[in-house]
Amino acid sequence: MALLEVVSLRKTYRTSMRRVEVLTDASFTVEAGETIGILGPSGSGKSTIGQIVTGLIRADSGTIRYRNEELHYPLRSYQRKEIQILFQHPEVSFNPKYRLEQGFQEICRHYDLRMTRRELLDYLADFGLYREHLERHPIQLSGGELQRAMVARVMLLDPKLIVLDEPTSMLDTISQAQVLRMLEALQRQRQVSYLYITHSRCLADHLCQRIYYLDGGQLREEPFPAEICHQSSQKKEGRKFYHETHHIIPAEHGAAAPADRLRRESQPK
Amino acid sequence: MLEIQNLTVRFQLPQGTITALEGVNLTLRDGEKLCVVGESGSGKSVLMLAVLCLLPENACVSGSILLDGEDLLQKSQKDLTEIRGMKLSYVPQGSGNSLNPLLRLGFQVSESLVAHRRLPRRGADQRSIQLLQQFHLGDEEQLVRSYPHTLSGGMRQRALLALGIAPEAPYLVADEPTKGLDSDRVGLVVDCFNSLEGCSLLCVTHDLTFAQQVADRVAIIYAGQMIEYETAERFFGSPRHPYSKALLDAVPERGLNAIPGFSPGHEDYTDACRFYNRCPCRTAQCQTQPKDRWDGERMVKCIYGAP
Ligand code: SF4
Repeated sequence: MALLEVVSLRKTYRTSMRRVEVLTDASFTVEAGETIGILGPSGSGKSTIGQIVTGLIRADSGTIRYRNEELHYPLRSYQRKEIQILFQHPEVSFNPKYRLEQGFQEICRHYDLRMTRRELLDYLADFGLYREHLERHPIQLSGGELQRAMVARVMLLDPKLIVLDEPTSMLDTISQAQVLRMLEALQRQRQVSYLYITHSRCLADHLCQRIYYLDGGQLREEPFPAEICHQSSQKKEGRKFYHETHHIIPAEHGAAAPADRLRRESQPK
Repeated sequence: MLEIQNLTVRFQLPQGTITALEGVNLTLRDGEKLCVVGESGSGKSVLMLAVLCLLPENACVSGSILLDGEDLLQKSQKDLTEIRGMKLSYVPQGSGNSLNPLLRLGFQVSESLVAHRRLPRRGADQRSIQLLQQFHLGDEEQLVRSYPHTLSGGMRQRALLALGIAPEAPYLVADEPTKGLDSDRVGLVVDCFNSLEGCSLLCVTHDLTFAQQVADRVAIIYAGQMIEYETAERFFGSPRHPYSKALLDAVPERGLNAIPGFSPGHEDYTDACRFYNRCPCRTAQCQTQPKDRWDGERMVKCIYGAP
């Protein structure tokens, strides 16, 4: 039994000027503990799928079964808690007037989670957030910090399915890798499923077990893996780490960079 | 030629003075494309704003920024207004409020042509449509009559690019021109920059895949310091600074490997190398700041980076 089963989703946006049919017949499934990717260019309706699944908007027709129970708009409260979403712009998810700590307290109050400050700090340390961050307002935090705070906040509710709607497209390269690797680790610990919405095939290859491509309002399952764009993602300790896992793609003009030169150059003189 | 010499920028804040950028030296040759790469808060945007002389009032700038031999830091506001637009054009971030919400898009693009290229209004309108077409916005004839709020973020970003290249200034400064664009649209930006004949480009970005496609040279900024300055070819082949290596390892196409830790905040600067806490190669010697090690036109700020 799939955790989530979506059949023939249809959605048309109507304005006074025009109608845009974004989803005509979109079907897919998500198993427990699995990451599936939804790929497609901007404006293709990828985000619409995520928003329908999380109950933020209503589909025109189609059925969604979650844990063998049909989802109806608006979602029931346990469903709202178990199906969460991470957005591209984490800053909009925080109250700008609250310090980060107040933001977390609000969630705890709302869902009746009892947590002392100590416990909260211990919990947040796993997300790379410390006491100093709790004192700050959202505007004083970097994009990476905010997105990690967002992940921490979502995980507090112990969700079963999280829609990741381009969660790293505004982050710098290292923050992006940190956030995505963190999500992977959390998945291993908690068996949570991800619906990963992205326009990057390479990122989808890294994270997903199955990939769907959204085209003309329909989802088509992509052969996978198409080509692995990464070689090894094992981490090694210390200095060795760079030399052994440094995958060098020569610059376009062909300056091949043998790994041994790299090694020589980074040795202490 | 744009020469930045020993540029240091400090901000006077109620809590005290913070140093946003420290002792940066770099040269942008005529027709060269330089990408300045760093994470948010590293000081890369401060560098860019300093070149545009658009830093806020509480900034205290030292060093010099020579544009064709003339120091921009010594210019009057009036001269700067002349320079911006005629010599130096700017592409701001699309997510900001860089377009005037009350003016139609076409007017905003053609205005820059009328003001800086002295084109007649009619010709300018025609040219604006062509410029926008280059970025595949779709139905450009209609688009020039629409207001900015009807555009998506990605469309605004591309419209700003069209606006920025309109005056055909010899120097173009671009701020994260690919932020939030999908890969096809990033390709349009790449094509646009690569077709700018003879124009010198200073582009601030965190997108290394994009930088690899456009840059002749890269400057890496970390915690307010330039830590590597290198030709793009060598940088993407064999970066020298441990942070540069970490950056490239985190690129999805190269493994998506994240090094742990975060760059230090301004209050955490010590005498040690700023990358010390995260550096897999650190030794006791790194307890003092490494010097900029220049070798011709390449630089690395690391004790192991000697050529
Ligand atoms: S100076 Fe030392 S700590 Fe700093 S980057 Fe180089 S090896 Fe690492």
